Formats: sequence, C-alpha cells, structure tokens
Amino acid sequence: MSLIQYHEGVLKILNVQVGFANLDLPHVIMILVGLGFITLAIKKEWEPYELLPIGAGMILANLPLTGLTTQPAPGLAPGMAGVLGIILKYGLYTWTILPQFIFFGIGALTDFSPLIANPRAFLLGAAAQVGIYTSFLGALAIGLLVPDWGFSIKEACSIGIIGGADGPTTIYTTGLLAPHIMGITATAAYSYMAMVAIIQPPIINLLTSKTERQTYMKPMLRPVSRAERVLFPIVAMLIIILLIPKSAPLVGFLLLGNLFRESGVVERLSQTAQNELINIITILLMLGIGASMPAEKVMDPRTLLVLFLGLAAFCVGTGAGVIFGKIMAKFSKDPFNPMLGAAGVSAVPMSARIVHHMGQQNNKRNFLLMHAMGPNVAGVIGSAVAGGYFLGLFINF
Amino acid sequence: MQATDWAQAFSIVGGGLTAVFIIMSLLALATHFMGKIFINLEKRKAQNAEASEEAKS
Repeated sequence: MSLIQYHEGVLKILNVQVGFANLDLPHVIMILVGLGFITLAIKKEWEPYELLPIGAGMILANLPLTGLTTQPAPGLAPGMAGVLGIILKYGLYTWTILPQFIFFGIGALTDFSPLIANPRAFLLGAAAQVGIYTSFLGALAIGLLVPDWGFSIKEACSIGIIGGADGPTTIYTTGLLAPHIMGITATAAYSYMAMVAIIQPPIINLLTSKTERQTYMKPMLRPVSRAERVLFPIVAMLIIILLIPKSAPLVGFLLLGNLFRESGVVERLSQTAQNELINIITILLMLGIGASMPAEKVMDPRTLLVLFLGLAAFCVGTGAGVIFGKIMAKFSKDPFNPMLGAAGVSAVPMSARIVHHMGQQNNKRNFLLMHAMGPNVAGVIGSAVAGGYFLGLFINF
Repeated sequence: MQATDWAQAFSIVGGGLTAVFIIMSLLALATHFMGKIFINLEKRKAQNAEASEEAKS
C-alpha cells in the first residue's frame, strides 16, 4: 500500500467514523444549549435534578455517530438500538409510562393536609389553569398571522399544558398528542418552574396593591386527622376519574402514591416511591427528554414560539390565580391575601415559597407558607385534570 | 397546515375550563363536608370521653 493510498484510507475512516468530521452547526448549538442547562443546574441550582440530566441527554443525543438515540424497530439487528433510543421508545413515545411513575413518587412525597384544611384552595388551583387555555388559543392564532408556523390543535394542547407548570403532566400529554415537540415542551415546563422566582413576583406586584399584599392571615390551619388524610386520595380519585377518565394515568397514580404515604401501613413501599423509584425514573425520564431534542427536531423557528407561548401560559396562569385570589378576598369573611392565587400553578413548592417570601417582605408578621401550599398542591391536581381533558378529546385507549 | 376549526377550539376552551372548575369545586365541597364530619366525630368522641370520666368520678 502506497503512502498516498494509506493516507486516503485514514481520511476515509476519519470522515465516516470520527465525530468531529460529522459535527455541523445545529448540533454544536444544541450541545452548547445542553452545556448551558448543566451550568444553570450546577451554578444556579435551578431545578438541578431535572436540568442536569436533560442537558446531559441533549449533549449525548447531538454528538454525531453515537447511535445512542437509535430506537428499536422491526428488522433492526439485535444490539443496534441505543440506550437513549430504548428509553425514548418504550418510556416516552410508545408506552409513555415514565411520567406516571414520577406522579406516583410525587403523590408519595406530597402532604395534602394544607389543602384538606382549607378546601377553597381548590378554586385557586383551578383559576391558575386559565393560562393553559389562553396559550392554547394563542398557539392556534399564530397560524392566522404566519400560516407556515401555525400549530395543529393537538400541538396547541401540548403547548398550552406548559402553563400548568407541571413537568410530568406536560410530558405525558405531549407524548400522546404531539410527541415530536415533547422535548421542547417538557424543557420549557421545567425551565419555567426553575424561574418561578423571576417570573411570578413582577406579575403579583403588578396585579395587587401594597395593602393587599400586606393582608395578615393567621399562620396556623386546623389540624387534619389521619382518617381525613387517608380518605382524601380515595374520594378525590373517584370524583376526578369518574368525571374525566383519561386523567386516570396521572391523577390515579398521584393519589395512589399519596394513599401509600398516608395509609401508614406500607411504609417501605411509600419510602421506595419517595426515594429510589422517583430517583430512578427521574434519571430515565430526564435523559429521555434531553435525548428527544436532536438538532434536526429543535432547530426550527417554531421552537422559539413554543417557548414564548409556554412562558405566556405560565404568566397568564399566575395572573389568573392572583385575580381569582382578589375575588375570593372580597367575599371572604376572614382576611385573605390574594397573593395566594399565584401559588395555584403547580410548581411545588417553589410558587408557595415565593408567595410566602413576598408575604414576609410586605408584612413581617405574615407566615403564608402553609396557606400557599394548599393552592400549590391543588394546582397539581388541576393541571392533571386539564391534561386529562385534552387527552379525552383525542385519545381512545 | 390544516385551517384551524375555531368553533372546535373555543368549545375545547369552554369545556376545559368548565370541567376544571366543576371538578375542583366538587373536590372542595367533598373535602369541606368530609372535614365537617370528622370534626364533629372528634367533638363527639371528646364529649363522650368527658361524660364517661364525669360518670366515673
């Protein structure tokens, strides 16, 4: 073999098998975005359990020639499917089981006592879902302005659900209605949850007066008995699922996890759901979400629109919650701080903490955390109901 | 891109908001009445315990 032939051979191998030779600008941009997510998770500690694996998944999915995202398919030789492709296909696209197990863990972690002690918080959790429907209409209206960038009704449902600020609900709904935009809607939902401290305070300040924000509420709610805590998930599950059956995969698992927690007789199962199970599923789900964003899917002007509409949904949801809080304050016998409405979005517990923090900033005597946890956990139920309603319109299983 | 069916879109919004508010209101009512029942039960238990203690003494 001459030196020239050898040189050509090496170049050919380099061209075919070496990643650098196959790296193009869109993939480089996505790798940088992934690095950005990892930086935010590590430096700012913004939703690190979600953004770090999402960023890592994004980088892995955009490195060329790895085969990691190759999905199992008929005719594909054994061992050729990539691990991220297997997670994507079976965990998210085909069976969509991962978000439900996350909800199971969340249920086991959630204490519904503040909501049981103050049931009117359910209404604040409902009001904050208005953002979902506003952005749904906004997504459809894009098609009127720029027909090429328009969204279908199923895509609009998936974009609107970002406004619930609930990651698993967004993933589950989008996975079934518009899987091709699941990565971006899920990332938007988790990113906005991480940015609650930046997004919500200006909206709350804009919609409430200083006097309203200073409204003092007694810090303690009534004690909730164990029997109530055990009965609540069963009653709620029956009411919700009998009215919106398609919400069962989310609501059913959320409340089942909570029943495990509150029953007190399956402590090991509850602990597993709260720790090992939710941790394992979080790793798989978030890596899968990151891996669902290869450059060829994300590098589209519509991606920016999805991000913008998701943000709008989150802002409108916060605003609607606050406005509903003001209405409730007008009719309430006891003093009622309307800021509590902002906690109706289901970013648990960040929204509740923001409301509590703002309450203390405006009136040092105020301790709103327990009051805000009520609408906050109601928001989780509200967004799961909204997601189930969308699914009921289009999915038959 | 198919043209948007706005009648369907608005019916989804109307139906969705109604469903969310109705379900959450029902949950609020159910939880409220559940609380009332349990608070009354607790009160009765406490009263019975007091009465039996008084009877003993």
